[in-house]
Amino acid sequence: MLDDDLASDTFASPTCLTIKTGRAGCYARFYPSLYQLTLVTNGVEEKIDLGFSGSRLLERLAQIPGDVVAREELISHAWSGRVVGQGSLNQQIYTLRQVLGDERERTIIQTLPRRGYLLNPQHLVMPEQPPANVQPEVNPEPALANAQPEGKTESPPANAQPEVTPAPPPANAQLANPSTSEEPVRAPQLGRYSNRGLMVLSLMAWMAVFFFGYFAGSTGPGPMHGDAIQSGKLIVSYVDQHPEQVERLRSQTQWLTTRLEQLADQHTRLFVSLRGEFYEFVCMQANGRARSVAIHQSQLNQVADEQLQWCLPQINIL
Amino acid sequence: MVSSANKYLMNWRFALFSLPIVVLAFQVISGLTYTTTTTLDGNYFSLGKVQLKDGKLIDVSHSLRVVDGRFYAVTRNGDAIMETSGVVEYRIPDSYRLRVEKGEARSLSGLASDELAFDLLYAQNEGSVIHLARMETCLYGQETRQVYCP
Repeated sequence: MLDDDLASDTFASPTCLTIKTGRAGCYARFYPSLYQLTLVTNGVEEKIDLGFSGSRLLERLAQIPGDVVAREELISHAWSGRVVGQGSLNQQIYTLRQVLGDERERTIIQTLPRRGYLLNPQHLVMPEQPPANVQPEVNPEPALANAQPEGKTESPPANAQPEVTPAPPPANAQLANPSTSEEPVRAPQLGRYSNRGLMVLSLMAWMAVFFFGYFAGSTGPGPMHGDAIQSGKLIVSYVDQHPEQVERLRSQTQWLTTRLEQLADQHTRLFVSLRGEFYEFVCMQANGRARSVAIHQSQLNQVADEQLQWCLPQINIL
Repeated sequence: MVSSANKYLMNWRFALFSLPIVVLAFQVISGLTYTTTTTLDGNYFSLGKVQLKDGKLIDVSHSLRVVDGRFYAVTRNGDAIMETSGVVEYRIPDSYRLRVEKGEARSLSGLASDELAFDLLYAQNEGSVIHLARMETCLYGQETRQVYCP
């Protein structure tokens, strides 16, 4: 296992790797020595602290892109000297995929069942030197790292780094951040969107608020629904909850509406409905008021003209 | 320094985006529930006649007063009188209703029609609701056939 460690650490670790993430226009600069990854989206940078294990995992995969790295080897490299279960590796791989926007496609970090994982070389852009202000700490004597004696019984991960070697990780390596001047932001979801995208989304949300408020600002109840039919001086609306009943209602009250039409001496709005056993006629008056006549269905042909005239608006009332 | 600036920028962006979402969510949630409204404040009235099964004709009147979102209504069907009070409620987009908190019916025994008596008794019960629809300039109580005109 220790030999594996040594073997894995014989590969050169780049000082900075650029990885094309699964999100459009988003690139990740990976600094193994800082345990950090910087997501760059349309010029907006976001630093993400990978932690020691996560950083070491990605570093090991990046050392031989396109080649499969066994699970055991990854565990020994990322958690050197510690006994961890397979679940820890799975969790770290999942976290890395999330950071790289690869949790769905899984094309950047690919799983080879029962063999291990590999980093897709097509997503590696090109190695670049880290900016001067975040220059990782480089072991002043890298040759010593490569000159580990074969018989050494302990292989501290820091010393095993061939070229770029971070300082030995503290006990709480997950929180370790070699850069004391800058505080990394831990993968906030919103950081994945560009300023422009957020502005557009915000604008759309405000427009939704405006339109919702505009259309919700009602000044009164909704109108009764019914077909309005002009019949002489009458404009008759037949109101029924069941549209198929409207025609029936119309034919049943035809005789009465004809009489009303003959009696009306001015244009009148009339609402006709059937409620239970009563036919209801509501005549709108010119002053905005209304009069109603309800007639039991058995009395439909017994209605006197006086009642109908009472319902209709009268000229002398106006 | 750059990181801190980004962090604050992120907070601003987050606020910019989250505020309308919160407001919209509040609007939607409030739209799902009825709330008291003063939109219909005013006095309403209407007259009517009912020709019963036996040919008897009775006079009907509906009076409604709405003050600060509370309503007081009196309906007269012949000798029967029903008094109700409660609140006017509104729900998005245009659903209005009267929710009865207190009701009292008098002289119902004189009402020959069971159907009309039922309408009055319905409005007597606390918690019963009368949905309103607009009929030209008037309001129409759908469950109780009451017409209220300004």
